[in-house]
Amino acid sequence: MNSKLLFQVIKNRRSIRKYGPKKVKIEKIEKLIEAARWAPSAGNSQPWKFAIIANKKTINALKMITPGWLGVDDPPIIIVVCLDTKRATPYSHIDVGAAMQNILLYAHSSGLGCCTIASFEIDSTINLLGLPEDIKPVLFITVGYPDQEPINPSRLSLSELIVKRLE
Amino acid sequence: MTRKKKESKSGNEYLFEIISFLITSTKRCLNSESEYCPTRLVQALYQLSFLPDYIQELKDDDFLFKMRQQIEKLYSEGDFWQKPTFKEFTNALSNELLDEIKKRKYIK
Repeated sequence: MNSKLLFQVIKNRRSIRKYGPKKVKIEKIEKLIEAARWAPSAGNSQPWKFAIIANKKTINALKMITPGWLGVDDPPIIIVVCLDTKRATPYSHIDVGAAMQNILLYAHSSGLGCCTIASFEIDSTINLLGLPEDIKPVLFITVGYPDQEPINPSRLSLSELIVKRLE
Repeated sequence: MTRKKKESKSGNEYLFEIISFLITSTKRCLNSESEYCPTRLVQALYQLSFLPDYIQELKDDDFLFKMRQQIEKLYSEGDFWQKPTFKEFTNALSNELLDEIKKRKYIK
């Protein structure tokens, strides 16, 4: 297992808001979902479901109901990460976060770029996508081939993050 | 962060985007994102500042262009939503507004 390589993927991943014209093959998107599938979840509840949106008109419609769509150019794909309320536990928001991170890291390692958007109108999204009653959208992930190289943002230092050491 | 006007978009379409943004932001701010309200309003103002690209009558509106510049300057700073930066920005914007109000002779 190459932990150095994995750490580079983790460290170099950036939110990508500008995309090139190259089409993303559906097999690549399915691999992202495959990565999400292996995320941990409370009691192996696997409370996530996904909608893959590659239709330009639908993407434009979703953009209209997404106040959090800040500075993202037209992405070729949106993955709508949903919660299956029939499988949800009180910890499902953590599980969905883990699934999301698997998608982001695997995307970056395979040459794709993503941006996560959490501020969107939920009821309108359910209506627009015709989602079943027990499936609640919780996150958009825009996906495409990057057309930018964002600069490294600042991060708090380790000493600022570690509030207690008991050895 | 200057946005290019998309030539294929009409003024009507552009206005509809702004309306959508305001309606969905209102709902989100009411339900779970109340602290985002000021930044959403600024975002809407930024979108409005591009109206001259679509409406001939507004082509020479200096004030809208000034607003756009102010907001782009804000966006170019990291963590612009942090209180001190944002407060300075709203003060600057208010001063610009007051100057414009006087310039337009609302105050006799």
